[in-house]
Parts: sequence; C-alpha cells; structure tokens
Amino acid sequence: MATSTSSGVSVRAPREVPVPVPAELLPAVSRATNASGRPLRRRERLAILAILVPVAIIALFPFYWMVTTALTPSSAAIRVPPSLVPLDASTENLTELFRQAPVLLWAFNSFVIAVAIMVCHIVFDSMAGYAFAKKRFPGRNLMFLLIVSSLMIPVQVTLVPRFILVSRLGLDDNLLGVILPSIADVFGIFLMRQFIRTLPAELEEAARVDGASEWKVFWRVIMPLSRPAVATVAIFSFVGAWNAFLWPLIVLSKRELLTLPVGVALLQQEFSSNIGLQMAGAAVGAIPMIVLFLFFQRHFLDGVRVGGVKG
Amino acid sequence: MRHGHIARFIGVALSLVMAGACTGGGTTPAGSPGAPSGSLGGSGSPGGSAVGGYQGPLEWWHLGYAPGGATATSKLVDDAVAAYEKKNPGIDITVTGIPFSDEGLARLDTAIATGSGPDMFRIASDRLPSYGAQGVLSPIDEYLTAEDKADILPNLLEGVAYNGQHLAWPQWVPPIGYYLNNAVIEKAGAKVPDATWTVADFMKLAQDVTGNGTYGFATYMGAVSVNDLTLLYAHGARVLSDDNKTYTLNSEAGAKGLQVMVDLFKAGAMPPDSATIKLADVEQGFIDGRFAIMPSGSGSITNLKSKNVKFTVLPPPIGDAGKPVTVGGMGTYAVPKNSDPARVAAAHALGRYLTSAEVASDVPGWYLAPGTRKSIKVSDTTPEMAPFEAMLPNVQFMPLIEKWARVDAAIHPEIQLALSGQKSAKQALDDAGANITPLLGK
Amino acid sequence: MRMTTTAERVPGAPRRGVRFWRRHGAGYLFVLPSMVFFLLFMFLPLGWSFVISFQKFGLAQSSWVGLDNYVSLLNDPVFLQAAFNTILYSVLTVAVWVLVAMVLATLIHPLPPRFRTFFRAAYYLPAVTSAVFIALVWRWILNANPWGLANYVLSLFGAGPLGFISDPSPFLGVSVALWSVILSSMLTIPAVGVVLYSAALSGIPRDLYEAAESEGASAITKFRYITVPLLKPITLYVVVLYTIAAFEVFERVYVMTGGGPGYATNTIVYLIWRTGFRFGEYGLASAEAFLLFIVIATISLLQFRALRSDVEY
Repeated sequence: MATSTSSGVSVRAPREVPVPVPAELLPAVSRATNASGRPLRRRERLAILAILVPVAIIALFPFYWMVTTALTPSSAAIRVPPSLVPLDASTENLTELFRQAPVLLWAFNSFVIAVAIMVCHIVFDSMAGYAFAKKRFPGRNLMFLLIVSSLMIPVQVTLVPRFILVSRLGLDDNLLGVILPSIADVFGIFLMRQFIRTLPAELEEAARVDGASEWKVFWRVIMPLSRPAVATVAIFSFVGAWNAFLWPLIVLSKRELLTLPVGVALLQQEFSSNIGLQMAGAAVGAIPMIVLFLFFQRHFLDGVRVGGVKG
Repeated sequence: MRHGHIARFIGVALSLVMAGACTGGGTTPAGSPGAPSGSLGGSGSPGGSAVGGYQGPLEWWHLGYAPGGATATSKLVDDAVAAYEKKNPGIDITVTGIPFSDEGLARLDTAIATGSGPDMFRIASDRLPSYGAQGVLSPIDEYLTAEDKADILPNLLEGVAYNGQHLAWPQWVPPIGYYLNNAVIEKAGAKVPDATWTVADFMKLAQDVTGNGTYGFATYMGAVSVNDLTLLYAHGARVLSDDNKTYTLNSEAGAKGLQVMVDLFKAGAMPPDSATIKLADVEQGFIDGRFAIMPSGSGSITNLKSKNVKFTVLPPPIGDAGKPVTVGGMGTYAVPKNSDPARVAAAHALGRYLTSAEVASDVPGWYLAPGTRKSIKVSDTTPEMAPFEAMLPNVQFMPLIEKWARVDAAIHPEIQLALSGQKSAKQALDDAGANITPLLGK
Repeated sequence: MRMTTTAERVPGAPRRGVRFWRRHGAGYLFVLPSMVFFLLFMFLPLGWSFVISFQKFGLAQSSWVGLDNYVSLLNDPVFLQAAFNTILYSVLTVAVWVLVAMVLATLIHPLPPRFRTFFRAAYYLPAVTSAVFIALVWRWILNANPWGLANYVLSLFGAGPLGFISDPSPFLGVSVALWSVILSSMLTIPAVGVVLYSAALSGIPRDLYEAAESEGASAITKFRYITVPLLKPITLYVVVLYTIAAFEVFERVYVMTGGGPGYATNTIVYLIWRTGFRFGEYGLASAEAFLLFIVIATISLLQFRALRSDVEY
C-alpha cells in the first residue's frame, strides 16, 4: 500500500511499503494448487535458479556493501581499486559513530515512535474495523467510503497544514508531534474489517448473553480471534513508522530528538567525507528491521496477503 | 501458537515505551521558555549585577552543537557556558544543538516565528533580515552601551542593521580565504605565492599541480555558501546592486569570474564531482592532499592544524577589481522577543559576553574568526588568523534582504550547470537572474 | 471506556434518542477515534491546504494572492523540469518494477517450497529497510571518483569514469544524473509486487497450464497467454500502487542528489519540501502539492473505476 502503512508517517514512501491486498483482486479460484503444473525437471530448475540467484545477489548487494564499507576504515574505503571484502576490517567507524552522534538516543526515539504508532493502530484500526464489519448504524457506509477515499490524498498535500496544526499544538520538535498525525490508518481499518467480517456472529452473541459490555465483546472476544490480522497491522505499522522519513524530518530538529533515518541522513551532511561513518549509521538503522524481518519473516510475507483471507 | 512471538514482542515493546515515557520526559524539550522559575527571585540576589537581577534558566540554541564536548566547537561552547555561569550565579544555561543543515535552519525559523524558540541563538547575519521583517527579534540597541558602540567596528555593526535597528550581537567575521596545501604544491615543483597573486597566477598554479590523482582546485558550490562566489567577486561582480533592487551577478565581470572555474573544470584541474561535492569533502580532500587549493572560512584552521596539515592562507586572487576582494558573512547572537523583560535582558547580557574580549580571555580559542571589536585580536593566540584579519577591510557582505535564502538557492544550481558545460557562464547567470528578479520586489 | 449493553433493555419504552443511542451508540463510539483522526489530519489539512494555495502564507500574517502561486509555478522552468523528471521517473521505474515483479514471481512459483521461501525473503529484505539507508548506499556506489564502485566496474570494461549523480549532461535527452537515480531505483527489487504476484499465481488452476502443455505450448507462450491475462486485476493494483509511490519519490532524491546538480534531479515532492520547509513559502508549496494531488487523485479514481466491478465495500 503505497498509501500509508501509517497514513502520516510512512508517508506513501517513495519506496514501496508492504501492502495487504484485497482478496477480490486475486484470481478467484481455489487456493489448492501448490505450484503450477508438473514438477520441474532438473534442467528447468537450474535455468530458473540461474536467473533468480543473480537477481537475489543484486537485491542483497547494497546491504553487503553497506556492511563492508562500515567495517572498512575511511582511509581504505577510498582506495583504488575498491576491495569487495573489508580491508583492514575494524570497528573503528562504529566506535566513531557512537562517539560523534547520539545513535542510541535516535534508536530509542525511533522505537518509542514506532511502538506508540503500532499500539494506536492496533487499537483504533481494530475498533473501527470492528464497527464497520459488525455494527449497523446510520452513516456507516458513508464514513467507510470517506476513510477509503482518503487513500487518494497524497500525504504531501497535507504536510503544510499538518505542520501548522502540530506547531500550534506546541508539538513541533516533540515525539508526540510525529506520533499524533499517524494514530490511525486506512489499510489497517480495511484489513481489520475484512478479517472481522469472517468471524462467526455466534461467539459475540454468546458473550452478550452472558452480559458482557460492548467493549468487553470487542476486547475479549473479537480481538483474540483476530490475532493474525492484528499481527499484520502491528508488524507493518511498526516497520512503517520506524522507517518513516519525511514527516519526522519536518517535525523534529533538535539533534537528540531525531529518529534513526533522519539522524543518519543528517550524518551524511555533517560527516559527508566520512563514508565509513555514514555506512555504519545506515547499518545500525537497517539491521534492527532486518532482524525483525528474519524473526517474523512468515508474518511479513503472509501479511502482505492476509487481506486475501476470505470467508 | 506462532502468534506468541508477536504477543511477546508487543508486550516487551509496550513496557519499554512505558519506561520511555517516564525517562523520555527529560529528553523532550521543555519547549517554551518562560518556565515558572524564570521570573521569581530576581530582587536582592547577589551576583546578578551583569544580568539585571534575572535568575533562572536560559535556553541557547546553537547550530551544529553536540552535547558532551563531542566536537571542538561544542567543547568551546561548554567552556563558555561554564565560565559565564561561574561569573553569574543563578543563571542556568541549557545549550541545545540544531542540525547544521537546511532543515535545522528551517526549523529554527519556524520556532522563532511561532514563539517557541530559545532565549538566544547563534545565526549568520544574512538570515537576520527575514527575522527583522517578521519583527520577532529583540533588537540590541537598547542594550548597547557607549563602550560597546566605541568598541565594535562601525562597518561591522552596520552588518546587523535592518530598517534602522541592530538585530543581533555581532561576534565574528569569517571571510573566505584561499587555503593552499604547501606539501602538495611543493611536491609538484611549484612555489607557494604571496598575497599579491592574481587570477592568472591562480589558474596557472592550479593546473600545474594537477595530476596523479591531485586536483589543483576544489570548492563547495551548493546551497547556503559563498565560497564559489569568490572568483566572481574578484573580478568585481556583485550579486545585487548597492540598493539591493537589481540583480547584477550576470555582469561581464561575473561571467568572466565563473568562466575561470569552467575552464579549470574543463582542464581537469577540479574534481569530477565538483558540481555536487559537499563542504566537508572539500576539506577532507585538502587534508588528504588530493586538492591543492580550496576556498574556505577561518573555521577550517582548527581542523587542519589538528590533522597536521601544513598550509598557507591567502586572500582570493586579485582579478579585474584590482585589489583582493573577499566575501563573507557575520556570526551573530540574536535574542527573540519574550514577555519577560528581565529574561530578555539576561539573554542580551549573555549575547554581549559571548561577543566580547572577556570571553576570549576566559575561553582560549573561543574566536574561530576575526572578532568584531577593536578590543579583540584573535591572531595573538591563533597566528593563522592574521591573514583573515588582514582581509577584513575588503570583505563584501552578502546583501541583507529578506529573501536571501531563495536568492542563494537560485545561484548555485546555475553555477553547477555552467561548470559542467550545460550552459555558458553568461547564460547560467542570466537564468539565475530570471529566478531572482521576481524576488526583489516590484 | 464502558458502553451501554444491549442486555439492559428495559420495558416501558425509553425515548427515541435513547433507543437510537442504545442501538447504534456503540458503533459510533468505535469509529469515533478514527473518524476524528481522519477529519483532523487528512480532510481538514486537505481543505486548508487548498485555501493556503491561494495565499501568500506566513506564520505571522497571510494575504490573498488569487491564482498567483499557480501561475508562477506553471511559468517556472524549475517546477516544470521537476514535473517532467517525476513523470519520467515514474513511468520508467513502474514499468520495470511491474515487469520484474511478474517475471520473478512466475519464476519462483514452480520451485520447491524451501526455495520459494528463500527467494521471497531475499527479495523482500529491501522493503523493510528505510529508503534513506538504501539511497545512502547507492550514493556511495555511484560516486564520481575512481574509488566509486560503479566507476570501478566500468573501468574493468575500459569505460568511464562517469560522473553519475554529479553529471547534469544529457544522455538521450535526459541528464546522466537523473538516469543514475532512475537506474538505482530500478535495481531495487519490487518486493511487494513479487509477494502479491506470488499470492495471485497460487490461485491460477494448474489444469490451465496442463491443457496448454498438452498442446505443446512453450513456457513463454504460457506466460504470455495464461499468466499475464489472469494476473490482470492484480497487475492493475500493482501499477497504481507503484505509480503513486513513484510520484512521491523523496528520500532517494534528498539523500542521493539534493535535486542537483543544477536542477537535474528535482522532483515534485522534493520541491514541495524545499519550498515549504526550507524557504517557508507555504502558499507556493501548497500550490505545488495541490497539483500533485490532482494527478494522484486522477490515477486513484481511474483505479477505483476500473476495479469497481471487482471490489465490494
């Protein structure tokens, strides 16, 4: 969803942002086929790998080069010819990075923002998704249409007024100023609605008969049943907020309040001649998400499709 | 269940955020000045003489400052704060770093405009007019003593004037000088010239020392700088006419000065990424011996000395103007308006201190550029500063106009385009003018 | 947050308002936070931005200038070049991304499961990394000096050195710098596209392929006549997704070139940011943003129209 893993923050990033896709877009046939057609012949498999492996190398090379340069002392980094393995590998750049820049503070800020936005999305997106899926009330469809239509609004159009709004609230240069304009998000709502619609009504009814309040029904019955969808919303919100750039760049300015992407981009200006330092910063910013990805890989890849779960 | 992972992750994350909310409160800026402690306790406290009795916090924003003495400049700031607080008990100064970048400056502008800024901040004089136009600064006139007026060089005091008011405390004047790497030049069998060198000498030298991975000349030509204008000014060009109403950089002199760089680049005497090279990369290349000559402010002295580079500083080469001309701005301390007059007075007192001879003796090495007062002689402690002090009479300041940031941003891209041969020098400067003229008003 | 429960329905008919609230109140309360959010941070700013675009807007005072902002933009060569750059960037990268995503997904699909997992994960990795970090690496790879990796590779073939992102000279009518930025984008694997196409492919019945094979169809024929047509709905979705993302390219420009050299790599969003948040020209920035909005809204509307028959809300 180019639009808004976290409508403000991830700001329809110029890179792609993970997307849940509506099931309706997938060819409407059973999910039974594991792979198309007959098993591959050995020769065919090799031919395919001969294409996929180089592409994988291209995909991963920037990361390799980032780490390699980060481990290469600056003087060696500008040697000709460049070496594909770290020369005189050392942690000099990392030490220097932590000495020159409040990297841990930046990571902490990124983390606080990402967690806060994630929690808000989990709660607010699910609430709205639940209401749109299960409640009947006048104006429901109109409101839903309104929310979905906000997909058409590029975040850039709203930057200036948002910034004025946030600074009038006294929240510029404040982590809250980054969090607040991102507390709900279209795709989370859409996803939760799609998922909750598939839940059988009997469980809710049973809870109501037992005298549970509306909130209890939602929190104790609906939410536990929606865990796969909640997991998806959580993961994509977290990653989106962690990686967000444009909005934090605008709102935050004091050095100790920056997030990792903004801080590392700033290093590029302050230490433009020290490529090792920049790459060390990039690696420190990228590695937490890569680790998260490797740990929750399945959720990520399933998550992109989870919107496709259909009842 | 595999969702256990997620649940645990969220749990851990949540608890960390809770912890963060508690400790993080400290790191979040208290924001608005005017904290309650500000106005109390003024009367009768000892030692408040210099600051009109104000006791309490002062917020000082400083571009490029990193806490904990991480950089040499930051260390100086810390030392100055310590010295001042010692002399003025009851004053509690907090220094906050603003990134030394476009965003940092933009954010500063917004904070000042919306009244959520600091008590005092350090700023280059060319940005003062836009604050002046908005009326957000507390002028220094009321706080200037007769001594100050006698001490500050008159032409430099005029460098902070806007609409009849003096907007900030002028601290120093960093003119652009030409740094020559002695080792590189001698290795190439050339001789380091003296302050009477001409543009022709410069061109010849730059080409003579080029080769074997060494480039004769390198300069930053990006936004918010004047380094790349030195050669244009050397021939007598100016960005604007004296009344700031007309764009004049596209004069014959301007085109001729720009052509010097174009020719050098074409001859391979400037690095291939000249159009986009960053400020610090120029200095690093100079240190590494890859660049023989670079224009830079006096701030580079400290870094070059710490890297044991042997260098000579000259004024920019003499062109058609017939005498050495250099460009520069002024470093100043400005005080935003605030509803607490005692606090404003205290901020002004701090501003005076930081631009005085007193701070120079309290904090050795405080002045990284020639000072603006007769009582300050920076070259006494930093001999390398002498060439810069000698340039002071020939410094051309950039025009003090409200839209300077946009004028500046219209010039450099065109210089880059001319350099890489996309346009003739004259055409490039004309095109810059097409963008600039509408900014100058009817 | 407690809400009325339907269980406490009392006989004796409460007033209409109360009854309405009992029946529907919970629904409203559940959507309330999100609705407030969308109104406050999406729709209000949209309208406000429209208003500002007709003003010379300052944080202290503003004045109306009518269409001046729009007129000056449409006459500004810098803006027009940024618009051209953005369109070229979008068309080329989206075309390559969609094609690459479809081909990769098709190639991954028939592999044994562990291979599939590996490649999907490998291709997805860049998508979880901030574009800032990726762009930083590309800036380093494409640096103009002989120690730049790209230039070293060229030198192995006896070519170069090239200025890449420092070179505004034209190649095929467009600056080398812009080509370099576009190239660096193309070489970033379209991860989401691959995953979406993979999901879609598993929905294509194998008997279609088997039937084609029995008639002796080649792999390319099958791709061309079975895979591509059946993937059409998802392709449309992916195209719109990527087009919008491409139109909003920012980090790559901010980090790699800062719009330069000259104006060679300026894009619309970079200009919006620069105009608004560097120069404080909020009115002009809003006008730029609104022109972008018109383009993106048009693309989105076309999408909604094309998909209306398929998607139920």
